[in-house]
Amino acid sequence: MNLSNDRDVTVSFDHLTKYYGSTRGIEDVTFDVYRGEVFGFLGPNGAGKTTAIRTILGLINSTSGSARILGVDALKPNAELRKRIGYLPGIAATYDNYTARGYLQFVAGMRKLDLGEVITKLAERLDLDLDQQIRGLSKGNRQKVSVIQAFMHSPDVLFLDEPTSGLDPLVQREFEKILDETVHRGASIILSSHVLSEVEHLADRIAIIDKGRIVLIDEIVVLKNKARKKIDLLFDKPVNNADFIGVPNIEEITFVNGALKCVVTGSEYELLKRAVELHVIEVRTQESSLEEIFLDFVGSR
Amino acid sequence: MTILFLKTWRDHRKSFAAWCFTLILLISIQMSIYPSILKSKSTLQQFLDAYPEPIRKIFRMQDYTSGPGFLSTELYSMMLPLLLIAVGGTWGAGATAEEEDDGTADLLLTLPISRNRILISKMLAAISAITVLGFMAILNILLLRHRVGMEIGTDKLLAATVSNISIGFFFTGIAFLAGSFSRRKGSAIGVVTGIALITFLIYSLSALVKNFDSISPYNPMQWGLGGMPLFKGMYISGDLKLLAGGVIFLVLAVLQFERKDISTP
Repeated sequence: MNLSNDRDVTVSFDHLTKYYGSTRGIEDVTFDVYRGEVFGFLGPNGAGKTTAIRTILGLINSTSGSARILGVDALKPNAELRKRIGYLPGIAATYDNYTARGYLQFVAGMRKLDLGEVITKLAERLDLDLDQQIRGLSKGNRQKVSVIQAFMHSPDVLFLDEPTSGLDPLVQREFEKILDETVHRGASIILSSHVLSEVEHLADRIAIIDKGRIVLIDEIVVLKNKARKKIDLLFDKPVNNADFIGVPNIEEITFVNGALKCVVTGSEYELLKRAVELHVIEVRTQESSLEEIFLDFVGSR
Repeated sequence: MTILFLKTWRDHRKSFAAWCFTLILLISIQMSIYPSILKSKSTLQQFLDAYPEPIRKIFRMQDYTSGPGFLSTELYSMMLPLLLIAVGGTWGAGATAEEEDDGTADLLLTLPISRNRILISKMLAAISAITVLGFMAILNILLLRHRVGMEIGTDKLLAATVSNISIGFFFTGIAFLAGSFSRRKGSAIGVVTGIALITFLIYSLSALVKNFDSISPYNPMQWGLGGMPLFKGMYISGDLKLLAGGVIFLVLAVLQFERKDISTP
């Protein structure tokens, strides 16, 4: 993705906290999202992803903290700001008694925009029949309607809560293209999803939220470098445990038919240096997926 | 605002058409029997006079065979006000609670329109609906009154219509307020229906139960119906109380909705 150099902050959560009476919603949520960035927002069910998004969008009142979108206080009602925001709610409910076209034109009308052509083009790309009554649409087609309403006015900031839920793989691919085009024109996207492979594929950075608190924010590349990697080393003569005493960052060492299998956390330099000394003939590395990183992180808490 | 106003109308168009049809049919049937009531005026009055005094008071039958008496008993003292309350109550209770119930509030409230403008658009739609129904009733009667030989002044009919619409407006305000607190349309409708039925019961029994004398001045049904506008003409103080009450409820509904945490289904 196109992470800009000037790092313009477009969305800023600043110690945002929401309590429902004494029940925790989110606590002290703090992070920034930059222009031209896809920001993955991950967490287990009930961790507070949707609460964080609904709070910054003013659907629920914050208990404390502040939030800004495009430099404007997001917690105060501001119609001008909302013109520049797209939102795809987690529960993508639409007005069932409309046709898809009628509903999208209603939303465009509320935005005081004539988006007839854009709606038609997006519907063609997502293979959606606009003239069907929403009541009769499948879950996937309803989701397409919601995707179109979120993107059709070319917003500068998009909050997408589980955007590909119900979409088939072909449509997901088209959705990714639309998302890519949106980011390339400089928009920021906050992508909340439980499909970690999707986030891994699309996002530049991620935040993991757990029990209402942000527990990790980093670029995916950096995270992967820091993450546990499974490494298999094959040697031209058998090796044993004694050969690897004192090598840092390695654990879960096993020897199978003279080959070393281990897990490396962080730099593998020392391991590879020792392996070369021992005449390594093949190195197989299996990087952690985002899912493994996520499970490691949330599971260890 | 216009788009949301029109959408509210569109959403209710089928039920509104059904209410209109019911109202026109009801009034037409009632008006069609009036000539036979006039024919047997003295016999019928003797028959009604034979009813126990409490029953005659409850149903305001004292002057049943006259145009105002007939319309008061059959339409303007119960049927029409309750119908207007039902329509205003349904539109008002569902205005926000139904959007939350269905999960559509999330998108609506992130569109570039303020919460108070959303609510005001829906309020205007509900108020216009009860106004249309009220005037549809009077128009129907005006078209038929000479044909059925009913003697009643347009000014009296207008006064009764204004009172009935004011009652509808008052309870629409309560419905919006209940809806702005509730997350479920059903509970908001329950609140407005309960209040309407209790106040109507107290109003109906006030002719019999002396203890109700002290609360009657505070009863919205008394404000709207107690002035007997079909007989005495415009009851301005009662209408103003209802309109003021309705406005207060609507303002409170807007204030509550502004600060409400929107729920998801």
